Amino acid sequence: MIDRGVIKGVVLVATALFFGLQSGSLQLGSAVQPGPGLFPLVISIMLGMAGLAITGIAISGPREPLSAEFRNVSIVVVALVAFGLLSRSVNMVAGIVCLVAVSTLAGPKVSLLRKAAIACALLLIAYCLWKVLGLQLPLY
Amino acid sequence: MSTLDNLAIGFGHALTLNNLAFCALGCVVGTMIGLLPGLGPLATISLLLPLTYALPADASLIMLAGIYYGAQYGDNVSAITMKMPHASSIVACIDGYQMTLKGKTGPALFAAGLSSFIGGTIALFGLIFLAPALSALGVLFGPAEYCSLVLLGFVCVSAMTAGRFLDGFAMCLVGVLLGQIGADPISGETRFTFGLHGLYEGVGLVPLALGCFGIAELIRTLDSGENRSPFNGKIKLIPSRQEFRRIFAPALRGSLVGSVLGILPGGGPVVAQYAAYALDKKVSKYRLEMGHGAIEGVAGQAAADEAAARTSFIPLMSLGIPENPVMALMMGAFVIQGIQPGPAMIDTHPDLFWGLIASMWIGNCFLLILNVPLVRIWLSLFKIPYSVLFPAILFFCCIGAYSIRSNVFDIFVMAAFGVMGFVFQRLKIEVAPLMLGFILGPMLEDNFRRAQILNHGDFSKFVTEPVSAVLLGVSALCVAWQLAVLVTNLESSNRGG
Repeated sequence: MIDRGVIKGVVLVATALFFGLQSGSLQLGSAVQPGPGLFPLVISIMLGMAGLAITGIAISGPREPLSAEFRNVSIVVVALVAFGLLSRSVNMVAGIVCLVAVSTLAGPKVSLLRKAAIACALLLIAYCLWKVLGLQLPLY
Repeated sequence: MSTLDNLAIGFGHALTLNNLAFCALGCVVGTMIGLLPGLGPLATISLLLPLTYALPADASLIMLAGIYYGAQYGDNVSAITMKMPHASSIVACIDGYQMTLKGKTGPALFAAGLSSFIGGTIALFGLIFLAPALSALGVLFGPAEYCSLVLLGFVCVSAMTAGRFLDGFAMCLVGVLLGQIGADPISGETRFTFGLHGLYEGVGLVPLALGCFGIAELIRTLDSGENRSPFNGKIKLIPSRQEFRRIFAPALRGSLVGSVLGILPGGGPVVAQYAAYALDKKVSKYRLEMGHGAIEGVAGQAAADEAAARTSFIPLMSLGIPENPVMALMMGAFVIQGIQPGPAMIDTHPDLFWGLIASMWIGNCFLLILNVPLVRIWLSLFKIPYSVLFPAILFFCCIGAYSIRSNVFDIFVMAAFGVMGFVFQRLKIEVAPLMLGFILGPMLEDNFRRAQILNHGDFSKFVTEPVSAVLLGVSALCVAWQLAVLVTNLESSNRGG
């Protein structure tokens, strides 16, 4: 079974490497005149050390289980991306309809009629936000 | 200018019809949204932040402050009535829910409201006298001192995080790195943008906050499949005479504890709640009842909660340093409005400074007058099934992220941070310190580079200058203490295992 603590440390070290290696390609400058790369590099090194310490502690300690459901997070991400893409290429009305259609796949089951009702309610709210609060929404 | 004169200016500003309306609106909306599952103060504020863009600076800050307290009260309500805490109201669940089980929801909610009022009022004195005093001290703070103070803030927030010190500190550092994305302010070179045009100005505060704290929490609520039955009990708000009298002592204690703890780095409402509860457990006449539905358990922590929430504004407004994640978000809001909080703020924007302080007390009054009686309406919001609520919450998050610069790219950024928040949550890392790192990172870097230039690259200046040395010393002590705790924990688990 995968140990949660080890994964935690590995993720942090990976993040540190990701930022650290890139900041190496930027100008580091000197102690007197730090360049754009120096500070991220220092922070990445600190993060890497923290990550290694966490991994070390996790290996020496008791195993902690890691569980994750990927269904809901995937649905939500797809819904958000779809909303963004449709709002940009078509208009936000399409975006909202798609958002409701996709996101209601997550969570408890909902009837088609209810989904339509939710979409209508949100469209109405969006319209009010546009007219009353003056938010710039590309509704149509 | 005497304090009374300043207060007069402040109240003059806060009592305009416009600002009063926004204060009330903030409190009400904050409570409504703060009640909802999966939305704590951080998410609530970031969700409602875009609403304030179009408002003038003082109205928007007053409204945001109102949203903050409203959200805290909303958290208390959901904790007391349905044992549904966010990180910010766990203590309220203990006695509050027990009181509900005994049918005493009304007195519990009343106690929470009244104690919040007492806490906020007492904290106000702290604000009135300490904020200008601390501002005056701001003269002592040069770039090196700011660096050390930020580091102290990171260390303290990490130490206070539930979980491990290293986790919290790592999150601060990740936040700093995320704050580096974009064009470097000093040299103009782009960092970590991968050529994406949308990242040139850096990661937006709102997409980050909405993603990490809004979307991620939403996913968590969906994953846990919580099916909370709505609260259907009767609510008789007015407590008995004896209960009413019992509120005051813990509320006063809690107010003092909260006022002090709110100012300290890493401090804030969460720490204050625990401390006040612990104090009451030691000192109160009714301590044996605590944990089983004693009204002290609700009153003390509510007062400490509110007091700390207010005094945590002091370091932000006087020194320009936010001491906890929520204040970091507030600082972002200040900057969006074009106000740079700090020692200069009290001189350049005295009307804003004192107006905000005055409106904090007015918000107090609104909470007592509006929210406590209206609690029945809030609770009926719970009757809406989550399957209907969460698409709406998603929608509001999208609108919030989009309307900053009318760019759908920010929605994608928010989605990405939602995934990041999800990953960290599954790994059981507390994400809040990331917000502190994100906001303070640029300040840390800026002051670090300035200090280096001023001191001609002399690192030792960080420890020889008195203020900086003291701050670094306290940080070092904190780190040493946390590492000692870590080591003893490891040893005991190895011996037992």
